[in-house]
Amino acid sequence: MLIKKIFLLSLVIIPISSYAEEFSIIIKSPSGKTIKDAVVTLSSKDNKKLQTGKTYKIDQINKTYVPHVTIIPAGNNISFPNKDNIRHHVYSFSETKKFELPLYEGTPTEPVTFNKSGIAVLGCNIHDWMRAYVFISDTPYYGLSGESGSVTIKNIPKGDYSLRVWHSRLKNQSDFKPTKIKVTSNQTHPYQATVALKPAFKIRRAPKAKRRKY
Amino acid sequence: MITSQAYYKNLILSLSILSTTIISSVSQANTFGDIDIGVINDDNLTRSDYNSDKKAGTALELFADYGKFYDLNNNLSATSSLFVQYTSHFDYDKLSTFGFGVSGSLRKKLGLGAYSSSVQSILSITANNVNDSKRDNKTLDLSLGWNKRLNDMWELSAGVSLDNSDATNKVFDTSGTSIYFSSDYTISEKLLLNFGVSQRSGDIISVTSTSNPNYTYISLASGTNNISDKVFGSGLTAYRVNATTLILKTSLSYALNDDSSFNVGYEHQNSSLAYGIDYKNNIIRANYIYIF
Repeated sequence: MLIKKIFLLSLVIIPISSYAEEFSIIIKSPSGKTIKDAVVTLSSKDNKKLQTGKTYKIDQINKTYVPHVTIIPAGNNISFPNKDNIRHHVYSFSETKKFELPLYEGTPTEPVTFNKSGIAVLGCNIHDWMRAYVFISDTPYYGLSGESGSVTIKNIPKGDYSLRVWHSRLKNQSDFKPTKIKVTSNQTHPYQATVALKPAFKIRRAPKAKRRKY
Repeated sequence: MITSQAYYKNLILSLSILSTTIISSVSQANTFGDIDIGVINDDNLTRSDYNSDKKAGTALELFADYGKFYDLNNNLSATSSLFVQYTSHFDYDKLSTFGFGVSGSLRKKLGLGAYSSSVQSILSITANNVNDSKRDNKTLDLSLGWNKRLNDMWELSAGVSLDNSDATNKVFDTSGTSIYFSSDYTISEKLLLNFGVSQRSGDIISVTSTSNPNYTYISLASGTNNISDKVFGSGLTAYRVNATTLILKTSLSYALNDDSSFNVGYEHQNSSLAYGIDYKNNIIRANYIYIF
């Protein structure tokens, strides 16, 4: 009886273990500095179907969007809770998703659905320095780099993929072109991608000298 | 020139009513405050054309305000604030001034997004108490400006402004009209460079001695608007003349974090009046600003 159970369990485990590969990559600048908030995607002709209907969240805290970069699979939603004690306004002019949430406090009742893959840049018309990016992925295999610049994508089948790396300050859009890679079961060292970024010319929030009268 | 005290009282009352109306018409208001501490040096405080009459001086400047920000709708916002300011002159203590006042602004964004242009109007009323009491004054400043951020590096602004000062002694009454243009250039994430040019047409106060070779012309230009003045020493006369002043300025702002910055600036002023008389002065300043 016990042998039969083990046999049946192995039938379940074996396909899963052959499916559950990992892909690791480190994103660095040409000078070797690790890059945070880089989006990594892997796509293939056999991409599994995207899970939809989930609601992600981008908070507004201390007049800042948190997180700065959010990745969601196409067909999912984002809610925008305002955790400040003032009103905020959320807009996107991006072709991927144009929308506007007029001034509000608290959490809007309806989240925003992002059906089309691409990038949506968010802003607040009251606080111009507030900016966030939504990367709407057409593949379920994606990841966002942290301070270490590394991304690990788990549960990905072995095979040939197109690797793309995106960052909100990409200097050369050619860096966003796909690169062919192979996901194997024996990746011993992480891939390394080098991307050049534009300087961080975000709209400044700090005060500047006032214009004084003569 | 408007000199009536009643005029200012009415203006302050109007501003208060306007502020109250705004406050009651919106449900949300965000408080804000600024603290600004700095040092300023002016190489020609007397605004004199005669070298031996030119007096340079350094002062400590303190400014603090506290106010409310109102988001009236997606494109319209307003502020109202109270402020105090103190200037302590190291070299000429009689010029040291304590002031307080109210300020209000209305800003209309002409579209959606960080790069859409906006227009803004600012009104402020200040009561200044100067150690030399004949210089005590109440001032009114009104500006109407346009602002446009071209991209994350360049921001332009331009506008017109009016200033009017009603002093205890009428010689120190002044009024003027200015046009200005200013641009901010982001050098790096921390550094911001500003260039500005403005031209003001109006009254300026100058102090000189009778030994000034141009004294006769200055007397003609000022008419009866002069008074014996001992702030910079004996034997000097303060007078009011009408002049056109070109102001060129630049400043560099270093962001210490999201809430504070260290700033240095240079300003050159050139005032031209009748009879070919020019007053030139240079101002340098360094200040720390904290916002909350």
